[in-house]
Amino acid sequence: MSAATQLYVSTLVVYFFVNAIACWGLDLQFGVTGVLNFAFVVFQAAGAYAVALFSLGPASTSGGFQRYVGGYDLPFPIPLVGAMLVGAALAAVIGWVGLRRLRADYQAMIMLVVSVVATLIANSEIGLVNGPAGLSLIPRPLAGVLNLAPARYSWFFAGLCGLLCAGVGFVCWRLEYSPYGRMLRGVRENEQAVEALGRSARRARMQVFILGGAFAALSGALLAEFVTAWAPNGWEYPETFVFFTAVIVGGRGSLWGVALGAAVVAVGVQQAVQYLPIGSDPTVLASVEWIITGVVTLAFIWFRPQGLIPERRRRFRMMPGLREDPHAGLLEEVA
Amino acid sequence: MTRINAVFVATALVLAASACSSSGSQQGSASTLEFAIFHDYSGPNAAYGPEASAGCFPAARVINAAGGVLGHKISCVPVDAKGDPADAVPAANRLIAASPSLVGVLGGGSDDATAVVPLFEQARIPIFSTTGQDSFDHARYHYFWRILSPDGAQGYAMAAAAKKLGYTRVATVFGNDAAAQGSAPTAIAGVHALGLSLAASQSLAVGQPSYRSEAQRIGGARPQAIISEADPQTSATYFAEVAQLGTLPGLITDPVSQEPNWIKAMSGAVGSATLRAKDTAVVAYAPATTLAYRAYTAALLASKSVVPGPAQWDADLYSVADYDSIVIMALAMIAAHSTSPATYNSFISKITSPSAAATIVHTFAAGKAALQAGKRIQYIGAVGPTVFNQWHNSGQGFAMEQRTVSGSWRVVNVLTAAEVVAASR
Amino acid sequence: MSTLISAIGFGCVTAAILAIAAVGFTLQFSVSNVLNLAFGSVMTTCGFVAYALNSHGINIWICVVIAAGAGGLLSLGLNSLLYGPFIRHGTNLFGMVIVTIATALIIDRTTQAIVGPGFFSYVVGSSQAVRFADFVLTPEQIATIVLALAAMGTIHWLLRYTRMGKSMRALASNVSLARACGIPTRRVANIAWVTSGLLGGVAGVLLFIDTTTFSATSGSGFLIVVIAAAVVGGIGSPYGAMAGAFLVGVTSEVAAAYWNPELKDVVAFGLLAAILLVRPKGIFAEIATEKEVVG
Repeated sequence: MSAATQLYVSTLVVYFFVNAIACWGLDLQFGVTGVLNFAFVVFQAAGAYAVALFSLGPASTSGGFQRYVGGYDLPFPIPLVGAMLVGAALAAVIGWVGLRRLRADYQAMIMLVVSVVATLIANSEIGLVNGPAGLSLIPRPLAGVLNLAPARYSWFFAGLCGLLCAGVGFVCWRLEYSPYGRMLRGVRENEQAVEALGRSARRARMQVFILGGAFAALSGALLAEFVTAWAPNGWEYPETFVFFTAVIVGGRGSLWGVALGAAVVAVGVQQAVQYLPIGSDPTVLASVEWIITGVVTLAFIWFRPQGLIPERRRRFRMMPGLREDPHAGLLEEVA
Repeated sequence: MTRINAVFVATALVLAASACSSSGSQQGSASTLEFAIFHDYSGPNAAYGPEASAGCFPAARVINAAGGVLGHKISCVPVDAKGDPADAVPAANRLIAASPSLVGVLGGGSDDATAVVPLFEQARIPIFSTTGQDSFDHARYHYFWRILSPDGAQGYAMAAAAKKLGYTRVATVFGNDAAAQGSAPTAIAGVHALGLSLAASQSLAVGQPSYRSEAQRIGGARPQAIISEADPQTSATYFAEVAQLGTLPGLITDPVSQEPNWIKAMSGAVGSATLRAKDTAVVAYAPATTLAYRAYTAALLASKSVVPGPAQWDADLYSVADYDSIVIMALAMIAAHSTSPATYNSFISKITSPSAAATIVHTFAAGKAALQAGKRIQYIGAVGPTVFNQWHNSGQGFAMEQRTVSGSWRVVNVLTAAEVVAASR
Repeated sequence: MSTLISAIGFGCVTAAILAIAAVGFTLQFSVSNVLNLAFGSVMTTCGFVAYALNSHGINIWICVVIAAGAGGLLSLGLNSLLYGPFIRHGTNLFGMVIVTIATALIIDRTTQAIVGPGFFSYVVGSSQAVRFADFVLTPEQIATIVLALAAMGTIHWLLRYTRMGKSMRALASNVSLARACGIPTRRVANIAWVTSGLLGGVAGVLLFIDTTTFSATSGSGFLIVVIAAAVVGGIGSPYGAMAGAFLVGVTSEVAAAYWNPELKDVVAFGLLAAILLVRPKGIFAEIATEKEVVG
């Protein structure tokens, strides 16, 4: 492969790992526990900005043309860890306000508004993270130390992402297939039953909200380090729905399914777009791409709501002794 | 657009690329050279792409009509940069990897330039950018070229224009998006430096349903003129409300007000007669009467099959600059006797810089003929003389232009370099 | 003082449009429990229907009426041809949210593919502002406020004094009970969808008259403000939506008049957050806790 092709393929690998991390974080919230976090991309953005602020150094030294708060020049891997902590802290704050005892769809709407407000603030308060122009020249981790050619560095970064992705996958796997994970699924299926057994559904939601927030932040941090720039245009609220589509198509609640969803969703879409006789007008192409994304989503919800790789039904009776309320949450669908 | 999609686009393209590389590798002398139009065709700045297309395709037309470049035909390939860095980076990498015959790029708008310019730098492919960001004012890139003035200079020029028009009390109103914010600080600084009184200074959250309170505040501040840059929708909503609440003061705008979308939105909002009476655009000095400009317009109008509604772009400075960019790259190839980007790149400033020995040419055909005759040339294109400094920036003179009834522009005054410099002190 | 009064006057215009939209959004939601995120797309589509007619010389206020009809039809069509089948197919609450998002995406992008990325304006006529006391409003803005008041009055009458309105409220508070009482749930839900579409159509055209310029994505951008107004009032409560619309509309204009105009939405949304902290269910919370969707 030529250097250019290598650079390109490694970019794809990086994006796959980053998206897998994000989708697993979302799946923990939405697929496993049933929290509709429509502000998910905000946590990804928080991680991206955090990693930038932890590695750019003071504003005066990084080109002098961008304005932001703080600005530290911390060595790898502190910015990544810091980004995860920022994501988790932000999730704790937003979760505390947004995840009060409300119906899941209210929470969803509140999160949607949170997402828009976050973009508004990032755009308007230019001193915060350089407003609409966003942050650029974000240093790539260890680039100075390794001193590799671009394509080789790109592969190194892909490896780093793969390692972290495996770590996140491992954590999710341990969590989801444990008594704790069963409790989370219980929150999704029958909240009252979980409460009746003396576990707090609200606390469980908060926990996955924070953990998912940290994973989202990690994905955002890696993406920002790889791209070296991050701007509000890249995390407007519709981006969240792309992650939802990936999780639904892949199979919510199923780790392999979600990873597959992160990889496959748009391959098919893209292939289809390539072969459609609609000319090469990029304006129309972009519209068609979104339309097909919408149609594929509808088709999956209609024909295969459980996704490509369905969640394995655990062979335990849900909360024995408790009547299953037909109106409670997702029971009809998964039963 | 979506990052996830980008990935998969990409995967799909690996297959496509591997399939193409077998056919693309057989680069005979007759192969077509590709120029990528790497701009936004979707997202909030979806008008940038068609605008650049309106520069590239006419250039390709005149170049091919004059026999092409060193035996090659050239073509323009639109590629959607999608409006944010995270989407633009994989798209750029894909472009570089999948296009072995890529020789030059128009691209790097304000929203993604800092992320993608380094990629084309690494790939050693010249990129002619229309970003105004000041981060490129003194950046050491070999393959980055900027024909139009950076935002900072644009802001000073708008302040200087206000003074030249005889205003003493002005306001500044800028959208809070990346493209508009670039020139806001220097416009304000220029107003102060020139001793004008700053009646008000507003930064608008773009795309709001109304700006009535903001318009009311501006009306209350009673400026004689408003120095402004904002996207079409924001400008239209805002200035319609200013007009409703009183009278519209004079407007001092930048090349954005020569974009068809801006004109359409503003004409609908305040009426084209009012717009004609009030608006003065401060743009690069490129009189519409020059030979180069006429060549551009003719080629543009003839490119109807690839540029829908070509006439709307004929006064759009960004389209004109993109036309010049392609012609400059093509002439540099001929001067370098090479279509290799890494080779011809260093000839770009040679064919544009003034010199006593140089033959001045205004079209590709004339330039090609002169170069083949062994002469040294200076290309003075449709945007006027392009003289690159050591950072590959070209600051031209500024002209103040107003609309005519027929929809074209006439130069009402010219700003000298000294006048613009005075605003920056 | 005059600044405050004129800002409140301006806020009333935004609030009027917002109220029409938010009531339409929330009424349909309270009856059918489907969170219709394609509502903004309905607004946009109606705006373009009005544009098509207006550009052929038809008076804009007649266009408002026709666009309302188109909105009602589109909304009914969405429910009976798309959402309804999905609900009966067994798609649950979460699923329906995703279905409506996908629908919004399809409608918006189809519109965009047809009309292109450009901007459009109606021919409205002269619009110089008239002043009384400290209020400064154009005739169109006054008409907007009057239309909104009329719409709110009609909705109030519908909900309080008609059989259909009572059925809607019954459905909003308890679907099973309403069904057990012999209320034809599907018919009532369909009427709620039509009403929602009518209001969405009116709000869409009024919004585009107000902004003077619009594009294929304008309606969906406004949807978030509509949702904010509905949430702050108490989602599912039409009266809450009216209160929420007034609060959001006026707060943002007052913030713009006195403070950084860039942050006017942030102030409005900040107020929303504060209210939700005190009253998590919004100002008027009269919605059921049950989650059955009605199609």
